[in-house]
Amino acid sequence: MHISDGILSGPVLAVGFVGTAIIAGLTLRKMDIEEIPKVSVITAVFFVASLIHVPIGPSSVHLILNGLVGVVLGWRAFPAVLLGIILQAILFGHGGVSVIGVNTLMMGGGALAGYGLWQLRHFVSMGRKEVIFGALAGGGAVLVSGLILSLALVTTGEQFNVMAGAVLLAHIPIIIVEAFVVGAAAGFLARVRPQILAGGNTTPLADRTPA
Amino acid sequence: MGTTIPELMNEMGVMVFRLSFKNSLITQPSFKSSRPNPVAMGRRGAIGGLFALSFLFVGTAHAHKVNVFAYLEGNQVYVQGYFMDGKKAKKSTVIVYGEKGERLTEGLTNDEGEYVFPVSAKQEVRIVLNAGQGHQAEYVLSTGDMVGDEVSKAGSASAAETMGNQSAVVGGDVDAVVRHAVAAGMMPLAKEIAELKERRSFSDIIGGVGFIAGILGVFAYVKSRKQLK
Repeated sequence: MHISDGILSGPVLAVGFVGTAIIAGLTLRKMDIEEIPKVSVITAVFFVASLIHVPIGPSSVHLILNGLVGVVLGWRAFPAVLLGIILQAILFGHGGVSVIGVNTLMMGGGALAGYGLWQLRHFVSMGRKEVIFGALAGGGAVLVSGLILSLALVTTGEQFNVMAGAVLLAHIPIIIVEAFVVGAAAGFLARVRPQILAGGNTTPLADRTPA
Repeated sequence: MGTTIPELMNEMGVMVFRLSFKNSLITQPSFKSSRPNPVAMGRRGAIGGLFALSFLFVGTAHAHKVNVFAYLEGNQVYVQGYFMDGKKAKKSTVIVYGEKGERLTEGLTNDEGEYVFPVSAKQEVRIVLNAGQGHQAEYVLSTGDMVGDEVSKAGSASAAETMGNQSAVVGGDVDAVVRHAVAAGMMPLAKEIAELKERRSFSDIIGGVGFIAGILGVFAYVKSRKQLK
């Protein structure tokens, strides 16, 4: 899900860049040096995921995984997505350089929405809730990205309802796949290494006194 | 994205397997557990099953990067739109711009992803194909020499005597046949070149991952210097 070069008008592209810069600035604040390896690995996962196309019949799909980025990185998801999008645009022409801002708002916005959905798990007490909320985050992130995509395309004269309908219809399969993948990944991480996941109840790495 | 995918998938699969295998050992610090945790193995099976199952639902294609290719046949321009996974770009908007950015013509591709329009003058046209949902591609085609010949030939033919006219028409026919054959033969080649340009080789992806590690490494370096001060 990338918007190509040459579709959006100048002001929309500018809004994309300004919005991305502001949100990236806010979400990067007070980043701890201990967080960097984790951000680095998850950025790489996000970057690679959308480049690997899995052939299915005559067509193919690729994962987006912005929900997973949100679930693992929390607020840091946005700068991670930004870096991934920049590299995808420069190295592979995915989208394009002029739309880096808008595409980051779209995918990063989805990732932050995924993080929000993931955090809702604190209001629920049940077993294996990480799987369920991970799945919600995985599917929800793609859904929100689709809505932002539709919103961006409205500026080209498309009608929002029509556009959003078409975009969501086309993305139903990937939403289902992402829900499964991110749910499974969150459940697995929660069991194996819960401190990796964002927004847990554990004390942040930096506040922990060395044992 | 052809040939590299299966290898890639294999490598990724092995990597994921190793990682999860290691993790399942870590979660079981007991010395007795020298074999993989059966629970983890079961989970992996379940995840794999869900993953495979979820692909069954994927009937409609997830839209991919669209590409457009055009070639000249006589004074008709054939525009072909297709997605990188080989699907035709049906019912896509095609807008053709002239040299000065003026809109020459526009229309929709048919069920074969094709759109045909006539050109009258020698110029460079920019063909923009929009497949919807933010997918757009363009192709610049120079209708230069070929149409120029055609037009001048037609002009001289009309001015000529009956005999001269006939020979010009015959010459024109041969030209058209040759052009048709060349255009038809070039189509798959041009497609292949476009796909080659698009191909993400494993080394490209690894290169990107290296960039990420490097950029964040520099970030960490700057941070660490600040913290030391």
